[in-house]
Amino acid sequence: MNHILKSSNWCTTTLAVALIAVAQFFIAGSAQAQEGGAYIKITDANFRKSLLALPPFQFQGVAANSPQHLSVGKTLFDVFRNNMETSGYFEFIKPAAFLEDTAKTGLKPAGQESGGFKFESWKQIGTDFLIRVGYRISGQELSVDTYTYFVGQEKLVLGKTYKAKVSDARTIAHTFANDVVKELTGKQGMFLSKLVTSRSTAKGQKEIFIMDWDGANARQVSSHKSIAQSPSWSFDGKMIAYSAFAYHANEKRRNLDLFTYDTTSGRRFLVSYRRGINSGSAFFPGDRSLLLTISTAGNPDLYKMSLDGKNLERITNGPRGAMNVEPNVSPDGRQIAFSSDRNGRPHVFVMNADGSNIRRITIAGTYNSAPRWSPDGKRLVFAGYDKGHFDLFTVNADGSDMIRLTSARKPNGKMADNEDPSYSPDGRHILFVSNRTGANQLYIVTTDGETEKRITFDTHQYFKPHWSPSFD
Amino acid sequence: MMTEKTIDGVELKSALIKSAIGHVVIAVILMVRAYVFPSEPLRLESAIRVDIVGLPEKSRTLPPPTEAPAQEATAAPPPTIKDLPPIETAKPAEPKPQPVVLKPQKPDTKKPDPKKQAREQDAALRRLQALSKLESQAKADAAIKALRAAKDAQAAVRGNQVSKGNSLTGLTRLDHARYLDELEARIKGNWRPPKFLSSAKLRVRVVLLIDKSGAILKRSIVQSSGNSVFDESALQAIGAAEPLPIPPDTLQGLLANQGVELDLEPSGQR
Repeated sequence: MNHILKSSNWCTTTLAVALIAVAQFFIAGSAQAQEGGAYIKITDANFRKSLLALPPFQFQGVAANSPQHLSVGKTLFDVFRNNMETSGYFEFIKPAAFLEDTAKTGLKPAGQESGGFKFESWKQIGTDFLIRVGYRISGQELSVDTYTYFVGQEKLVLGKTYKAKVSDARTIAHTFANDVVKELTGKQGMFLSKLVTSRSTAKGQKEIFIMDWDGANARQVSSHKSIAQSPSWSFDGKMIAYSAFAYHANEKRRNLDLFTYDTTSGRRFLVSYRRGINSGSAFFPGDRSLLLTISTAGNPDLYKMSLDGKNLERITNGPRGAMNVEPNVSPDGRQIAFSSDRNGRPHVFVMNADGSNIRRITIAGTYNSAPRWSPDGKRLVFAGYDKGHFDLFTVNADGSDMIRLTSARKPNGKMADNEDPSYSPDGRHILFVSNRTGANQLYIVTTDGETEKRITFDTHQYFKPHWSPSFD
Repeated sequence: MMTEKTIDGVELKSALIKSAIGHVVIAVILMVRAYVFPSEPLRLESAIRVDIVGLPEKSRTLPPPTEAPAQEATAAPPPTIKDLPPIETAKPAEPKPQPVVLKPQKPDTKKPDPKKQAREQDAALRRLQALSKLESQAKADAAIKALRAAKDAQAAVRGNQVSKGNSLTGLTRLDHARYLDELEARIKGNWRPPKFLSSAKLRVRVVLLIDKSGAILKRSIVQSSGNSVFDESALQAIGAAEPLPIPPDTLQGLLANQGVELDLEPSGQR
């Protein structure tokens, strides 16, 4: 017995030694490999804006035949330039620094056309990109030739001709800007996307308006002659849902009902008119159902329903006396962000789409509201009340890495409110309402908080805008 | 007895066979490994020098006597302990106490301030030295007493002192790490890739050969990002950083021949 034991011990020892030998070899191996060379990893880059030369667009027709060519050219140029500026990728070279008379040089380089431009004269002033555009008008037809050059490599990165009606000059400029962004970044541009907002009218009412991302082409899509509010886009960008205080003639009272409006057909549907609040709606991906706040049962709670107003499904239930409002469905349809005062003060929460697994996202602050998802579903933007005013914040969907995006003062020196945020479809901008001028106007800010831009310049008041999740 | 012997023989034989097979398997693993895991370049990154100070209570398992470090010669008489059991932990055959261990830091995602890091490293070193002095004063006596009680009158406590280091470790390595930090800061400061590529998730690897004056001997892309504008921005950053900081003597050979690999991979924006 003793011998056997010893023998097996010996066997174990051999194995152990072998294992140690292997382990040591691996360790020694990696140490040896360390003699290969030095290595530096750089993960944070100081990205810079590219220098863009954008000479005036050349009219290439007979001026006498098309008297509107100046205004059309101005529209094309202004809209396109605004898009390029908003992209955040470019810094414009002042025309005074141009070494060439761009009115006399051609749109193509000298090698390709006589009287063409010289890359050298653009390189000398540090140009990264040169965009040359010429346009012609015949009758109501507008034709725009565009050439986007990467000056450093003397290369045409995008050459494209756009044709449309003269009245669609803005659409051409947006499409061209989208193509440039797509060419450079590989990602879709947002310049054909739309906004929807509630806006004050002269009679002290509020109606729903749709407009281009840059505030142009605003058109009224509701006329309830009361308060219409909280509009939201469907994911395909064709439908909107909103609430309005509609008059119920048989009961002789007004109720906050939920409507949908088809922007292509112009048809309107009354979807939910339960007594009390039917508001704060958000579409589910696929646009077959909605999420909204209904207060029939007493407290405002979140419900899911199909677009025809049927299949009502309760998502939140209490706690007693608590509000569950402002829902927003994540792009993958699995999560719902909402605000609730279930813990005392209003805060941002996230739950599964069926109402389970409710997590509190914001701890800091005293009043956090109106959460909306980023298009990649990774972050949330919300308005948080801090030191007497609202500002925008973004935060990871798990509550980490919160940053403040806005901070502005009113003309009287007091801090302005920045609220009701919503992401652009490309996730690079956030639309919001600010009262920094005294009136509630629409603004956008880049998701790093670096650049803000005012979208509306009028005397109306804007409320609860929503940026379409669709790119067109 | 006979049966026992037979069993023993059989067991021994089978054990030997197992052992032989085991060795062959290990040999095969080692050979295959060389192909499967090719050696990687040295990641000389910012380092923290840590002196592992042996604690007195370990004195029962002291290694065979070793020569005492020079600076401690006056304080501690040469050890004469002969028959203490040898140390059971790893590296018993080290001729000298080997208290200096370099611990590579993981690449920092935030911007490291090289000056600040250097300051922190120095401060950490000083703290360690002060600590070890305190400890040695407080605990050396106890250890010596224990040793005396065990065998001899004179104690040489292993550890409790900061070695001067040698040419392969310690401050030289710190020098290397500091140089690479400086190099990184210089190149990073000059690296301005275009913003339109900020969320494109690109990675370019460049090998850079530097002569002893800090001039660039060669820069070549060993792994392109696939985007010529991005690649070009990396090469421009290196060019704009010239003249590079002058390498320490001990790195000159490496930098001029094998060079340093720059792995540029911006993490995406929010």
